Amino acid sequence: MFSFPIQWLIGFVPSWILHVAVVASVLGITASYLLKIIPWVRLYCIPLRIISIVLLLVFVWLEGSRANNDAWEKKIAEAEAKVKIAEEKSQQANEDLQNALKQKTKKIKEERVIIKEKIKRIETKINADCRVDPEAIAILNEAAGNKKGKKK
Amino acid sequence: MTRFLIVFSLLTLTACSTPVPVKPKFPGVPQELVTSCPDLGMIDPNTTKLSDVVYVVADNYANYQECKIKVDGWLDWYKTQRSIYEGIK
Repeated sequence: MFSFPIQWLIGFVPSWILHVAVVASVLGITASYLLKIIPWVRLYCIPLRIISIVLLLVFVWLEGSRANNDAWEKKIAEAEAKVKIAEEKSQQANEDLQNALKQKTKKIKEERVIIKEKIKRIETKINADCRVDPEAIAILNEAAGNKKGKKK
Repeated sequence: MTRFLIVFSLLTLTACSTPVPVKPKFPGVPQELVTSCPDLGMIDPNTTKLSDVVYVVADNYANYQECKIKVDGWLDWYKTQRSIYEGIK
């Protein structure tokens, strides 16, 4: 629950401040043991140790949180880079496919015109020898009717 | 108490795991593929000319060829986009 605002705040703190704070906490704990030999400081050793331990725990946690955040940001940057490359490849593939489709469709349209011209050329000849029965046309139209596939 | 503090302090060091919040956009499709195939042409029922029949049949064959190009295009699009987006993982 508190992880996100803490990580957000920690993002503004330079890394070296966290490192110094951890080292200072360790030094505080060490000092709390070493300063026991000086009589007039001995009184403050226990509070110093408690504060240093608490600070050490807090700053080590923050260091971990910072490292974790950095690791995730790195992963996000890597994923974003991969996605960007994939999107570029996808766009390129679509352009290639579109060009191929245009060429193929153009060829079909040209062939359609050629076929119609051929039919026109021999129109008289094929009509001379054959008369189509209206029933045959009705059957062909029925077959082409697309009744099952029609949406409307 | 000391043991509890050690375990508790170790727990505070554990990090939360969250999924990477990066989602790729759905890939686009060439404009040629988003139109549906035309219905088959019908022959004028009042005609008796074979040439009229052949015209319509040839036209329908051409429509089929164009439709086949679209279907093949979709297959090609799917295979390519799939291989590209599987490469992200």
